[in-house]
Amino acid sequence: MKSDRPDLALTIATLVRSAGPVTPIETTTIRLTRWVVASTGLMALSVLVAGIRPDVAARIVDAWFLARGAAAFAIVLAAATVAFATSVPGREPSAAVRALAPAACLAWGAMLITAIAATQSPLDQMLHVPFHPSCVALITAAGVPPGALLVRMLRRAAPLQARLTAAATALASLASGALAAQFVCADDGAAHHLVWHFAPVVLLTIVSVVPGSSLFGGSLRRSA
Amino acid sequence: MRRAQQGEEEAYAELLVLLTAATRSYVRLRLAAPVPWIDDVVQETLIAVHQARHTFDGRKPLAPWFYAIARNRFVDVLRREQRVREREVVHDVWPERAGITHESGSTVDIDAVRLALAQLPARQREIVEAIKLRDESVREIASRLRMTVTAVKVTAHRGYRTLRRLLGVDLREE
Repeated sequence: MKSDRPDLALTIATLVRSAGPVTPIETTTIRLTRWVVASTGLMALSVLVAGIRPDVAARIVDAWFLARGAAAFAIVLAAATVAFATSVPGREPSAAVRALAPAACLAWGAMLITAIAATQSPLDQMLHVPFHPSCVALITAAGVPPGALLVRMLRRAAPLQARLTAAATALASLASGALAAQFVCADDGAAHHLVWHFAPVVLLTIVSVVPGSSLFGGSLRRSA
Repeated sequence: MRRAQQGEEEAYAELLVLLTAATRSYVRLRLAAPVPWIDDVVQETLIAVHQARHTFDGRKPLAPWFYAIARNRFVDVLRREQRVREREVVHDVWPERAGITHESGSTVDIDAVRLALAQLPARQREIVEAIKLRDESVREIASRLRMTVTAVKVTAHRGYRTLRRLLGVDLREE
């Protein structure tokens, strides 16, 4: 009669037999840098495909445009840092580092709300936001290539916290999409950005956590 | 670990034996009473260490890397055991332990099957487990994984082929 418990000697023998040399993965910083560089290229490609806004030369020196871009880029960096850090066992980010991406999101939202509140009729601004779902589609589409690349790079490592990794990945990807969308969408209104850029990034991130975690949940699991 | 990463079998075997003891100690320290599934945690930890060994940075200490994996596997097994207990199911989550019958009449140890499954790529493993262990239909799997039926079949065939190679047996396809 066989025991109901695993045969550890056999486990070790099998693992040793199947273990060839492995190349250690690069540090989080190197992988993050590579992803940012590659994603910047992918975002630029998305912008070119979608059609760059005609007034971009004037906009890129505008403080309001730069502030929104900086907020989105800060989210991209913070979320991707968390995603890469969680993909290596024992190198999980501290609570402070984890808080950076949500904090950057809050800063982005607060910046837009402050800009709306500073107008003479904030309520009117919100009530008359033009219907612009194409921005959501653009953000999603432009976020897919960097997101796919990020997922691929993370799955090569060993993420242990599937939901956190999925949330960080989704946020980094969608914020990349929002950054790219800024160079396509010609509406710089704060209310428009709050409703059609900021809100979709936050909501789609939340929605994609559970399905996204299935991409990372099985990396070190023997069975579901 | 660095030597194991370079493919030195002897060093790797020594390391896994050490990690076996370390995992047992880790689990015992976290439980008030002895449990029968301690070796399940050890086995899953060893497999996870094997799958993640390329993520170890030789310039850093081994302990944080290893205990992060051990903690993850411990919590996973603990939750699984609690679920099993809640359902009052006395068997393991794997439906049977009788082994798989080879054409010659011999049997294959289910542990060897588990290990071989663990070495499959994630998608192949998911599909083989779904078909062979959870009795899901190819159509159900295709729908769940958003694949075509053909793609599921092809992936399953690849998984069977790899399993055959690893186990040296014929897993008859249903």
